[in-house]
Amino acid sequence: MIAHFVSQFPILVVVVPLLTMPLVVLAHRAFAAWALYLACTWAVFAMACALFARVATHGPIDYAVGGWAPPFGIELVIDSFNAVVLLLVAGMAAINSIYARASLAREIEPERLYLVYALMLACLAGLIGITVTGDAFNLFVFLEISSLSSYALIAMGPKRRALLSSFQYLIMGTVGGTFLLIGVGLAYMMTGTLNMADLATRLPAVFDTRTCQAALAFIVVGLSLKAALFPAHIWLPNAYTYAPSSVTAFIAATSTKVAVYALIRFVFTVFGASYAFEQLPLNQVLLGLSAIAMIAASLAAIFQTDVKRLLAWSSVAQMGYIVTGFALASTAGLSASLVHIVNHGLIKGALFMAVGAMAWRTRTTSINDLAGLGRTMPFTSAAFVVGGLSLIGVPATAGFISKWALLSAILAAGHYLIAALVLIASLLAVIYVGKVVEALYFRPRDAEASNHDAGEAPLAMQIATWALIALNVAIGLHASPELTATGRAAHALIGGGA
Amino acid sequence: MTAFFTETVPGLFNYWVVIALMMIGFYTVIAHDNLVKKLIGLNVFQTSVFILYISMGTIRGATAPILMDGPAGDHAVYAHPLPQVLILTAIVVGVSTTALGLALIVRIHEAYGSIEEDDVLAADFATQDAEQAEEDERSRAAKAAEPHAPSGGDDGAEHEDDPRR
Amino acid sequence: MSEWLGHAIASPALLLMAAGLVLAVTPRLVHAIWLLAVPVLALALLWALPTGLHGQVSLFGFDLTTLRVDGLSRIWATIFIIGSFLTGLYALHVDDRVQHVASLVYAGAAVGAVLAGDLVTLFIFWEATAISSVFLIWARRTVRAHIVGLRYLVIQVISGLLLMVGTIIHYHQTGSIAFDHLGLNVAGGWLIFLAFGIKAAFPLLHNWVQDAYPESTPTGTVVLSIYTTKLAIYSLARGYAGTELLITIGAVMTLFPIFYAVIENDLRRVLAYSLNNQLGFMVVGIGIGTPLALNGAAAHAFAHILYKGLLFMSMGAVLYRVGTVKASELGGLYKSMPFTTVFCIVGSMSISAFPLFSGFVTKSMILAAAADSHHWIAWCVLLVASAGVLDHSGIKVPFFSFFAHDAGYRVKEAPLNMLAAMAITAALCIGIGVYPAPLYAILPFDVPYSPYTTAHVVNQLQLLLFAALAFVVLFRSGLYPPEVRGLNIDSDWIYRRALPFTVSAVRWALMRARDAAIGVLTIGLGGARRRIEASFGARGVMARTWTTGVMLLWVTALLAAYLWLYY
Repeated sequence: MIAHFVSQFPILVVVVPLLTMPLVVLAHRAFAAWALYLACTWAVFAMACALFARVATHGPIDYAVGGWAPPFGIELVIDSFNAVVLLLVAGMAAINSIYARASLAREIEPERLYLVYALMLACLAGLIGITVTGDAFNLFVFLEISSLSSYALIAMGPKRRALLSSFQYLIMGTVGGTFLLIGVGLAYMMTGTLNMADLATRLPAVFDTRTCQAALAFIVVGLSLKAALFPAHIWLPNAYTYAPSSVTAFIAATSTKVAVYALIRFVFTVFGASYAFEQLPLNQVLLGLSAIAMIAASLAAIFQTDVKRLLAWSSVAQMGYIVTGFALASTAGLSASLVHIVNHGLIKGALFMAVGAMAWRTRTTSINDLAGLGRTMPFTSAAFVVGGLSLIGVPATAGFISKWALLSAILAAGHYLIAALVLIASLLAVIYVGKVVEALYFRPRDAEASNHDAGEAPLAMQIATWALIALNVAIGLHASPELTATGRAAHALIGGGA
Repeated sequence: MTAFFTETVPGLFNYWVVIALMMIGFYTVIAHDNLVKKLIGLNVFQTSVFILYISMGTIRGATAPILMDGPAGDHAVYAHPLPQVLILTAIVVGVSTTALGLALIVRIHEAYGSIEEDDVLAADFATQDAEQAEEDERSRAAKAAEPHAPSGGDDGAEHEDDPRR
Repeated sequence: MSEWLGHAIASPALLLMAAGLVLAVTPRLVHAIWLLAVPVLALALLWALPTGLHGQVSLFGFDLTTLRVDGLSRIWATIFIIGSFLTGLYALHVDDRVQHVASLVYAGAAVGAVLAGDLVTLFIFWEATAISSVFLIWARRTVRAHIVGLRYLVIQVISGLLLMVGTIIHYHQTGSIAFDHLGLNVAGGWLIFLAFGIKAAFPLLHNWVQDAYPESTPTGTVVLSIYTTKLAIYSLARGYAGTELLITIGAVMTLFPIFYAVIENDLRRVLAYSLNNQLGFMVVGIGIGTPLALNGAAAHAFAHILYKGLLFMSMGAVLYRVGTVKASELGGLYKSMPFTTVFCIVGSMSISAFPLFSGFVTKSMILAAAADSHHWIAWCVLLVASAGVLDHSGIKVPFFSFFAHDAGYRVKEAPLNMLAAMAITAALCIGIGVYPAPLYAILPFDVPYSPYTTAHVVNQLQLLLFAALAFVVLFRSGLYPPEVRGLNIDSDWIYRRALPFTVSAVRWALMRARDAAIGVLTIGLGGARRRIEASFGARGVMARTWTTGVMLLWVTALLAAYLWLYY
């Protein structure tokens, strides 16, 4: 009985949030809605942990939805690769659920709160769906579910500028989604199948056709849009800046990461690395674009006066790191990419949460308004410092593990110029993080601001932030479990098998 | 050459339509300022993809993929149903996107009093510039208020007097 | 996990760092006990550890040796811990938690780096020293300190990154991360050398020392002066002993700061230049690479930390009481700060290597080693530099602050804890000078050496005499920089006016050259910054909000590029 229940976990991680969503809407009252949200995310997280453990010990799980055997029915596949991403998404949602209540209560009218929770669940369901599905069209549907809910979530932001940001994201996101749809359609046209594993076996026969090449191009561009890869990143800074704090923390930690996951999945599993990287020059293009992203976005981050915006630009730069990793097309590079997907999720989640906690007090996120908070909000500020150090990649933090893995992979591949650019980008990170830290600790508090705003953020917000910070440090100190998991995943992907 | 006009063009008629619609939609999204027109362009663009999918599944002279009774049903040639099912889903997605986009436009109109993207952006830039100026001013004030604030461009070097003066 | 815990407790470095972090949340009352007791504990722990490799842990695929206790690392760790005790005592009155935390963590990181048995561990602590130390600069809480601090941090991080890349390359080529003798010829050797060189303030890589150290707080500068540069010296001694290039580099290092130290007005910056000059002696010692020379470098680092710390402490006390350390504004302080004056003189006599003071018994080892291995040019340079040391730090610092013309300051003597810290340091300086045997006993190599031979003493005394004479002549003739003012014109115009004029013109030209260089750099950097801001600022092309049309055009271009590339 229990074994049967456990075997349904792959579908339950998607269905539970989807079904909780109407319940949240029905619950209507803010507290009840939040309680449901909390219970649901933690249940999903528990299931994700169980799945991760199972994949680690027993190998990939295939689950045929509705009992329809693949390739005809939709198949869910959880292997060593997406188990990691699944754990990240579910974990971020769970921790965010602790954080969200106090944070959202400050930014959104009480009568609309239940809608936010419902949308967050929809977004979660979509992201998890993208992660676990083994069907190319299904991936598109889940992508749209997560995107639609995130447009609505961003539009809930307190400033009116959130509206246009959301609309622009909607246009870009829809175009990206439609490109993906075209790409999948073209692949389907050539092979007659939508199942990823099946596609992987049938596509090589038609590799030389233009349809197949166009399919790859459309899919890569569509997913680049979602992953905010330069130059398709322009929607991201505004969207992250004007969304409610806890929404930003969740989306920044998961959404672009899942899009990159999908990109890696298509390139490595469906089309195969040898096709994308050897027959077609995808890796050079990606390496070039991500190099520009690292430097240009880091420079842009330096000049921001708003912390959320600064972090958003830094996210664009960090996506450059991630893409660089897998564009190397080596096991080490792919593994570094995966490590950074997880670590950057943890880092950015923690940093956006810390900023959200500060905004909870000061109601703004401009650097000048955060000046001197080191004294009045010591714990939150300290969390930001540790998170910032991790973003720079200081030893004993998760960011260092990423940087080390990435640089090792780049140097092993002999791309010395790219290595130099990564180093320059991390120096630029020193500057923009230093700017905020300096304001927090070494500038006096604004006299008028300090009169009415003093004290720490609510305990729940601090707990959530510090949980992520603790994870950062834990990974930094003891990285071998993470590296083992990602190394295994990279081997599985490069090896060709799912 | 004639084969191109007699065979290829009509044979691939659907695909020409798809490309034409796609370009029209894309152009509308790019070129028009009006947010509603942009959304309509997006719809046209999506519709072209729907047609692309449906065209894949058609077989000339085939019936709709509906189960028929009797011997005719056993031998009927019918279009591939899967693309149609897929596109049903995609249409749902498209409709939701349009609905959400229109809702956003309504709120943008309430907040800005305009649905031209240029106007809205101009209003945003005005706010942003005002904020930026205020932030710069505050940064300067904060620096000036700090102890031992150096005056002018201080680079950390001692400036000595000219001994010959 | 329990294994982990054992290593964490056994490591003096982690003890110091953990204690520093605990300090962030403890009540102020325990600060005093904490600052003094923790270094004592750490020192006891260090000497309780048997010689050999400890603390092997496995971290992200590497087998790290976090604790390597041998002669070389132990003497460095010892002096670092003694330094942390002294600075703790010296800063006892400071009511700024950030500084205390940063000092202890910084000390711990430096000790950890010295004890590191492999390059990865070294890198980890290397970065930790960079991050923790910048807080000591920022703690001055001035705009200039903020800017300088960020600059300092970037340079330190560059050093760290070079070390990291060098390590990765080294690992890929050789499969080893052991931190033993490297040399320039191994894979990644140059990168690691450059990383060490930045922290050791090699010529042209040195500016951060003079840039940042004088901007810190009175107590912060003392802390800063101890660790980073000496850590780099240790790393060079470990990895590049006997590299000929170092002799040249070290010789240049001993010479060029003298000129700047002589013309500099900010006395803490004078000390920063002389710090650079002293590092040169150690670098030469490492370059020679014989056991005696390495012993000399180690002993000189030991003594140097003490006397340089003492000098910075005395200047810190002056800054704390008077509010400035500009030579032109000070003078006559010996009346109000007699104890500080005495301690400062002890420090200057040590740095000038007077017999019976610590500098003498250590510096002479390096000179002797240079002579033994027939590096005569280097030997001559070191001799000249030794004379220069007396002029800028030996006499200039105490003279202009405590004697010279009376600037009229009537301030209180330094606080008791500062005096106590200075007294202990001064006692150590004299103790080592009078009875060097205990220091010699803990040196890494077993080489018999006796500093007090007639030749050594006489040589040194002659040298000092001439240097002192030079100072007197220069000062009397008004040539000595910060006091150059108008003079009466008389028949002695030629030697009283023309000569000084030439000297001051040269000096003025030197200053202008430096100002111009900095100016060009500032304008260049400012221009670059403006240009970058124009592109990347809020309204810049790269960072502004675009209409969806423009965004889509980019996407279309991207798609077109892909399709074109594929066809």
